Amino acid sequence: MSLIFGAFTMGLILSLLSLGMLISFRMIRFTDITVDGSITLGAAITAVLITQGWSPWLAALMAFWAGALAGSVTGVLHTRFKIQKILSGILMMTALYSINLRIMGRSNIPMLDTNSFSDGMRALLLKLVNNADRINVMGWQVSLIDAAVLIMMTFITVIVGFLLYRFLLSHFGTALRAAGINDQMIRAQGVDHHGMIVFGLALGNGLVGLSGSFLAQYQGFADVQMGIGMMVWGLASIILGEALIGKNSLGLQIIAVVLGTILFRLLIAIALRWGLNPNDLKLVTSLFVFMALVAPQWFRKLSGNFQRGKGHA
Amino acid sequence: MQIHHKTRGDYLFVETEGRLDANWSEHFTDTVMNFVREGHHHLIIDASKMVFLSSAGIRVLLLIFKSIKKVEGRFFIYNATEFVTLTLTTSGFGDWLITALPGDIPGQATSSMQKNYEHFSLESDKGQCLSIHNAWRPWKQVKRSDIKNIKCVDNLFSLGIGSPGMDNTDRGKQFGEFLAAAGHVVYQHPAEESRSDYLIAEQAFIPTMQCIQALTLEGEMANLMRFSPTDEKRFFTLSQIVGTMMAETQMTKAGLVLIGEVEGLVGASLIKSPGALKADSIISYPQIKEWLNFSGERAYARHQAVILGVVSREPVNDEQLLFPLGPDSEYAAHLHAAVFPHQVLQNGRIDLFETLGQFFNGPSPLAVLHLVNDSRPVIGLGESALVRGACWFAPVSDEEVHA
Amino acid sequence: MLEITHISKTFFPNTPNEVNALRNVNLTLEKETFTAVIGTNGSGKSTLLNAVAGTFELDAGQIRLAGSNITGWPEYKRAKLIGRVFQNPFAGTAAEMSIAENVVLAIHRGQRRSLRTAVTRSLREEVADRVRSLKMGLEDRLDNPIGTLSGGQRQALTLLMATWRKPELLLLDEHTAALDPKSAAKVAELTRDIIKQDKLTALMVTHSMQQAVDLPDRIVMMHKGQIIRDFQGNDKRRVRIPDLLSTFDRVQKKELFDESVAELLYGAYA
Repeated sequence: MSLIFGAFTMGLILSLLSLGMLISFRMIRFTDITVDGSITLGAAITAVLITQGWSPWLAALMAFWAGALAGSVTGVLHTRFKIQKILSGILMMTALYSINLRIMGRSNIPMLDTNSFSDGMRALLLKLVNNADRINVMGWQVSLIDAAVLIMMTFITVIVGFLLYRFLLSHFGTALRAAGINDQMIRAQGVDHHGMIVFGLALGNGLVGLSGSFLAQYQGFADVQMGIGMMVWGLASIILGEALIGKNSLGLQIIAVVLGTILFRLLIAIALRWGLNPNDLKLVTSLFVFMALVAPQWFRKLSGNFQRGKGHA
Repeated sequence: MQIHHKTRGDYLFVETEGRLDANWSEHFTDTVMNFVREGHHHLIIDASKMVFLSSAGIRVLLLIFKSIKKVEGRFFIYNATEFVTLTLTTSGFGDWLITALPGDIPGQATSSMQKNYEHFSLESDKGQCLSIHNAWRPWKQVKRSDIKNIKCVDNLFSLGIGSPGMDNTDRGKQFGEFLAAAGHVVYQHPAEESRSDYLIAEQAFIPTMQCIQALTLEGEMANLMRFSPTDEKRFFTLSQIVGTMMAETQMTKAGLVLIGEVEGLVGASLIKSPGALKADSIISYPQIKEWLNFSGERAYARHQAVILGVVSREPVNDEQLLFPLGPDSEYAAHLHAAVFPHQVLQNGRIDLFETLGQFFNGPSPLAVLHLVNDSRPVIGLGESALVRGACWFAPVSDEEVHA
Repeated sequence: MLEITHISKTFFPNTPNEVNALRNVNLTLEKETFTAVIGTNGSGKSTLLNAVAGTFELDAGQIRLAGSNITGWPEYKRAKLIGRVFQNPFAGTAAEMSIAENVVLAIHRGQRRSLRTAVTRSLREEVADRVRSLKMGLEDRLDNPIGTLSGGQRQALTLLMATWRKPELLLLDEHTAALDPKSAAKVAELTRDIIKQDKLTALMVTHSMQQAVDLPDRIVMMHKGQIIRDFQGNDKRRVRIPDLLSTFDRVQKKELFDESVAELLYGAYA
């Protein structure tokens, strides 16, 4: 059952990415492709810093700031230089590919026997179970390290989600949300909506960078290719969560995104177990997002036809 | 709703078929009032096919009744259906209902409808005395000595550029076109855009105009010419009216007052008082736009106009303030028109004083225009024209020019 | 209060679509006066309002408001001094957000946005109290998305929002034009009441001559990017719709008045 356990852990780590994308895609309504680059950026910085002996937490913090910086550059490209949203993201993502290679110095940094954010929790667990290397969770034997990561990520996700929730309900957060809905209105209320876009992208990509940091620490390596397709996965997770839980309130929306991400990782894990070729994973994900975007229109059309049909009869 | 009409003796017989309700009342009023404008003042509404009459319908019937009652017209509703009869009697309009057609009206000049022109000689046969005051010429500075006070008494007809009042204060600002006919004065304040001012002589009050230009006629009007449209001739240009009346009476120079329904007026008026001129100037294009307003179209259709002025067979004469009357016209003229909202004008021989009184007691005048023959090639608007009306006139027997 | 001096704006300069939207416009509004701007389509009346709101940069001229030269200020910075209501009822509010959230954004117009919770209980009570004065039953629907309200309700609420925090200047851009006649009348009435009660300085662009005659203290008429007439004081008190119509009529006649007409009239005024 390490499969489900792994999917859960992976889902929690990537839910930080999804929460970041919740800000950029749903709050300020910016189709932000920077994500593919900034998650790698977070991982790269973490890998370099940790291998140089930095504390994992400090490395994670730096990953957050690096992501935020990348996001704000995308925002400035769009607001200041009037470049289209998509193109601003593509420019930044492409630039980040080279930047990430520069940071890492090569295409892959393994992090074997290095410190990790879950070390403390692992030590605690070790004490609790008297130095066994596996623990029993509801009848399953789980490796101690996996359990530690899962517990830590649960904490982190809950804290980030809660802070995000409080932030979005604050005066500043309310203005940020309004900036995404009606820029004319928010300017008339004295808010610099360009500033809000830059801030939203910075916060969003900061969370993505953080997610990258934890991902690298969990997987034990950083790879320059690891970000490819992450944006589409994040989007798929958001869509899945919203479809299941809805978005009637901000709290529900945040919970939906987290649960959506976990569920999506589970679905992937199950599909892989049933023999899906891992190389087809991105194609399947894209098809899923395509379906999710198109299906509502089809349903509307179908129900329209149905009603017209009734009218004739 | 279907409306058909035919003349029946002195009456116009209007057959109405369908419902006279809120939906149709406007169309019905427009159609019937058009007949009234053309001079049909005695109406029989054939209601034998009128299936429904609402209060909105009664309202417009009453409106038509009232407007022709003013000109001594007659109004009947013939052979009404049971429903219409009931509606009208319960509303107190049973008097309108008839079941037999009325005979001809005694003393009615039946001929008026078949002829375009009808001429009446009035008692007075004296000529009028014309005095021309042209002290001010465009665009000189107005001097105090240019101003002549004209008391607008009953036997005086005057038109020109002036300002009402007797005091000397502030007058420099408000010289505008005016016309004064037998104690009734209409004056266009140059800064006013949608209305004219008017003054009526009453007992001891005699309106006075301080004029910088004026053509003034003293005396009675000796003739009345009526003109009304026929199917062949729908309207009359000023040069047609003047040509006919001058030929019939063999006059060469005449003063006239014309009251009639407008087909279209072409004219200009001052929008800035000559009193504002600081020095003798030449006002060229485009500055002229700030001083004069041009109607720009054949204006005020369906309104009523009181036109006053002097026409002469002599050639155009700046000294006498006479300008071309119309295209190919052998007459020169100076005419001002005061525009009023529509009122029905009685047929036949009518009295000038009574008619003027009727106009001035009705809705206020809208504008005074100096009528102009727009002779510009291709884009010209032509001269002013009327649909139907009355023209009082008298020969000018004596004249003097004050420079 | 508001001083507009010699402002000009040309859109799409040096192209076939060049529009001289504002041509050397001067206008000064006194404190606590209510001015309406009327004009034909393309007369520049909305452009004038937008120039004050700061939606574009001027080619020339200066705008001063409440003692500051705001000519170079971006739109959001001017919002500190200016409350606005737009023609489109959807433009002034964030549809997916609740009534309370929209109002809270307006309460802090032009101020720093803190990280404290925006919609608190005490704020909800304050909002409910004021919204109750609209008599639209909105006080019970503070958590409903504003998009569920009718156009008239949204516009009334936008007006309330724009004036919640007393602005130095209230800009109304044909704010009743997109409403049904009944709602338009109600919003117009509310406009007059609020401006009177709070002693606001207001500039309103309107398509409705009736509104221009009924509501404000002053009427400014625009045509082809210029102010052609200004009815104030006694002039304004006596002005009626026919006067406004004939002023437009006269302007149009002036445009048709070409050299050939001048030639003709020289003959008649010789």
